[in-house]
Amino acid sequence: MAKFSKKPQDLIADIDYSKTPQTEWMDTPVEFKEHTFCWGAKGKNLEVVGFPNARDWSPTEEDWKLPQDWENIVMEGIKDRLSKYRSFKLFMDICVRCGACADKCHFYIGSGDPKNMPVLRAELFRSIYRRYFTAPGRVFGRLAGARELTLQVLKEWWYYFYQCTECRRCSVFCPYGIDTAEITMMVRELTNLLGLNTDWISGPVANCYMKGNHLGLEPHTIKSSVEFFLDDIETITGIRIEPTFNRKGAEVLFVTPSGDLFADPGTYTAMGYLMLFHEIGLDYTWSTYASEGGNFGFFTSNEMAKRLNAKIYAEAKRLGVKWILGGECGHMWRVLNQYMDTWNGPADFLEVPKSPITGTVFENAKTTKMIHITEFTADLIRNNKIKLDPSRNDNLIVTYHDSCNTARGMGLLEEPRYIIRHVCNHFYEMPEDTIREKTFCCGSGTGLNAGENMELRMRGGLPRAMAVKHVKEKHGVNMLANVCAIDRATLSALMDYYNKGVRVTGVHEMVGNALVMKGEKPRETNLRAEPLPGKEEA
Amino acid sequence: MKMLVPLSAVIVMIIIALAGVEAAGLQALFGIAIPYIAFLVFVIGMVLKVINWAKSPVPFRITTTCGQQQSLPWIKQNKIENPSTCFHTFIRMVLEVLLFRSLFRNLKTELNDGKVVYGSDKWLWLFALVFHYSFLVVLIRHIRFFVVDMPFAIEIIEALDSFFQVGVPLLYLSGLGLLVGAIFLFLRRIVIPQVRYISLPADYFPLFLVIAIAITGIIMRYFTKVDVVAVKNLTMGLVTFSPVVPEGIGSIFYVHLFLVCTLFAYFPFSKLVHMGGVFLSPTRNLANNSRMERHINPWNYPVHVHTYEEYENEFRDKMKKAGLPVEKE
Amino acid sequence: MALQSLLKGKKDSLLKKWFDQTAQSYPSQTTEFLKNNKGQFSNPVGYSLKKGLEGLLDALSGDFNDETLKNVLDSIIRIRAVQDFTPSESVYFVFLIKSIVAQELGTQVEGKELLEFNNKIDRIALIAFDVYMQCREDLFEVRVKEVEKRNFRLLQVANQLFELRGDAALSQCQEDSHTEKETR
Repeated sequence: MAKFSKKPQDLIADIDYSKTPQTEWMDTPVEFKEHTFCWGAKGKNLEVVGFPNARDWSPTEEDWKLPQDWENIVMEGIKDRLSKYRSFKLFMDICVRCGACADKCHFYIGSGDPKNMPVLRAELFRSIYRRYFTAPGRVFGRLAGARELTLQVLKEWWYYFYQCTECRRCSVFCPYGIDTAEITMMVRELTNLLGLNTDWISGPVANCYMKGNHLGLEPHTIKSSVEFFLDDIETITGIRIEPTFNRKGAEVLFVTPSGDLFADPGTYTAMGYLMLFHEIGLDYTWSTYASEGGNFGFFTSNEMAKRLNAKIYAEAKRLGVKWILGGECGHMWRVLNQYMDTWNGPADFLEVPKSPITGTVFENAKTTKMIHITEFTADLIRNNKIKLDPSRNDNLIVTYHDSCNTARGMGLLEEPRYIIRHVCNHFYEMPEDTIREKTFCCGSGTGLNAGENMELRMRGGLPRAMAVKHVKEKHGVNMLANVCAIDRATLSALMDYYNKGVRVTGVHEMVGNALVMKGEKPRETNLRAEPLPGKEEA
Repeated sequence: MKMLVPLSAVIVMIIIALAGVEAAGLQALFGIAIPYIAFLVFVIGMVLKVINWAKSPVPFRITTTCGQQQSLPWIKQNKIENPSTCFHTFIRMVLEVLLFRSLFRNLKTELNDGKVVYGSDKWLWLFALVFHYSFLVVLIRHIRFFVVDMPFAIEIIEALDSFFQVGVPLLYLSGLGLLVGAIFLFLRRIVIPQVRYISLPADYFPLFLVIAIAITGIIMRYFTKVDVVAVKNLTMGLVTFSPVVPEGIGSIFYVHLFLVCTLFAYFPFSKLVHMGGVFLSPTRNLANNSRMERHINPWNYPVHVHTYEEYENEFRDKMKKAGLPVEKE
Repeated sequence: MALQSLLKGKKDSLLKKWFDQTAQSYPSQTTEFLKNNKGQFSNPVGYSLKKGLEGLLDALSGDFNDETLKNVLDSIIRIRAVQDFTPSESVYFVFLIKSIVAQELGTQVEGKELLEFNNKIDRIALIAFDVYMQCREDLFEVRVKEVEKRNFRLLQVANQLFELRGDAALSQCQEDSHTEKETR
């Protein structure tokens, strides 16, 4: 990075602006810059889930309190993973460094730091792979693009692999489908062998393991927070909803990210779910044990992710439900779509999901037995099973942000859009290169949504923010819809910084607003207790 | 440095071949022994490489989905970018391998100040295609040296390749394409700063090698007019395992052959293995149907979980107070 | 007036130089990317920078008012304020135009007009300073707001407890956090 070192008198003089010499990336040591990384994991949180080397540590301190033989642990860890994942092995060997991915990463676009180019991020690791696992690397060393594993390298890994949100955008453009997310997962697993996680990830993991959800909400708290929603819904609609918890014999188990129970504006999305289920008379139950759809374990190791995920099927079995319905979330759905059944299946105690309202059988989930709420709701709307008044959302000019994981790890693109088109009257897409499979990350996924790394988040979110800015200026967009709990929190921050006046909503909050419920009183306000369009006081 | 070492390596190899043939008279070594060795290294190396990849399982279906999934029947699925059947996955792979579809994605138009601007990456796709297809055609053309009677298919390819009927002997487009493609890929590496930064000596070496091979080939065909009959005697000797060293083959042929041998022997140990790897990439060659069909992880093992029982034991009182049902009173 | 029309006439080359020199504050690989990729969305940093500098040149050669300058500077500095720059590096680009103009227009500008031009640059620099501070304040505001939103319901519960019990300690605690916010 160029350093500003001009004396004031130079400013008016004719200065030579030749570029600062740039060292090769292997010779550029990592520098921990404030506001770009998360705090280190606390020992007690690692201990709860039995992670190795549990102790308090800080990334900025020289001494990371590593185990004596940490190099060996890393080497064994790499060997083990190479034998378990073809993806990992293959992606180490076949990259030709064509650079097609280089400018596709939101962190590179927003920061300009070359080590954020996906190819270089992967090379940070690949150089070690070459040195210790390939013949040319052993013999020719640096000439073959290999380097020694040192503490500096480990720190560099930690810094940059916790600067990747596993969004898979680079993978879309790679001619061999090399997925940096896979490499990031592997390197994060390695760092976890040394107890090098972040506080923001390991805290929720510990919570989720013991209490069933990331926030660490205990059973009675979950119930009472839902009751808060019920009070608000009653105030707005005049209808008292009575959902059930941990009820055996319900037809459907509903699992959603716990963030929606506490964090604004996710809470309004949760209200939307409650209203919709009540209106269609769905026989369903919440669970306080499987009270987390998201999976921060996914950001530590495959094993931890599986351990956290196990609760969902276990609870479905215990309660004897027929199938499972999942709320709006991003990485949760990559996990449910591509991992859950393989980890914890087969779910042969469940039935293929069948909407009791429309009779639609969801063949696409016939083994996992879990469907996404937008699939469910889109089907309701298609079959005219719910009455909607989109004019209640007339104050909203909406655009839709595809979450990375639902877009590139699932392909859930049209379902939410179909719903949005039916619950509001003003919907505008962002530019083509920034949505669907080319969507830009919020910049805060994979457990990077902490506070202490806010600068990094704002860099990573820049491309998304600029696309929103475009539709804001062009169409007056004031609401950014999405189907992800992390998005709801982090895009709010992103909009507050770059696009003041644009707010963030879950799709089912808009459903809740537009939903005409049987026996409701004339609505005066929306779920945020703001007057509905046309009901503003003079 | 990054370019100098691979460049000098190629030059040294040329000198070795020249010196070996001209000064030391090692025609047999360069014409017979090395080609056999290189071929063996290539075949065995590639087989071992692929076996090595295949030994690691694909524990999860990690398809990168680039379009609408199969869900409700009235929502149009993008069957190629988000396949859910083997057939569609096959089509996706065919497009990927034969047309470099993912690279093509980089071809995009952008609106800037109302003017349409084309992303520069379309060049990468175009020249990558030119390069790889030229390489393929050149390889196929060389089959003529290893068979007694020319197969008809190869004659057609040769005819097409010299379609423009320019020059004597007729100019092969593929030879030109190979050279131009390789030079483009090389220039790209030094002109685009980001690509220059990520390039390793191992990226320049094969390019220099291919360029040298193409140049020596072109020189032989169009300028020094190598004795094709003699060359064919040599190559036929190799395939029939009765190797001979015919008289009258110029040194440049041995240089050409040595470079080709180097490329073949180098292949399995380099990034060039992407030739085989592209078929195995799990983000592309799997259908996105893990909710429809169970995918088995061969090393799936039981893990510690926090059971409901343990959970209820911890919170039973609080649950009862809150009116939540419990298993044990 | 003469200077204004000179600036207008040379706008393209001035803009190009200003942009190129500012882009050099990034690592050299990135500089070329910022310069060459014209995409509004694939290269938002370069795009915003170019638009912003163009806006500043327009202001220098025409309507020079604080409100416009603030908006234009915001579009550049808001991005630089969260990148790897020190505060001075973030706003340094403003001064680059001085020597660029000197190079481009040479002796055509002098005396009172040059003084006036320099005063304008100083004015821009001062506003840039304000904008930078505003961005950084926004950044920390966003952090605080996010914490509040994250615990939205928790705060609600706490408030209700407070109302129910009239808990003196809780009330004290609330007041404290209130005053803290106001002084911040």
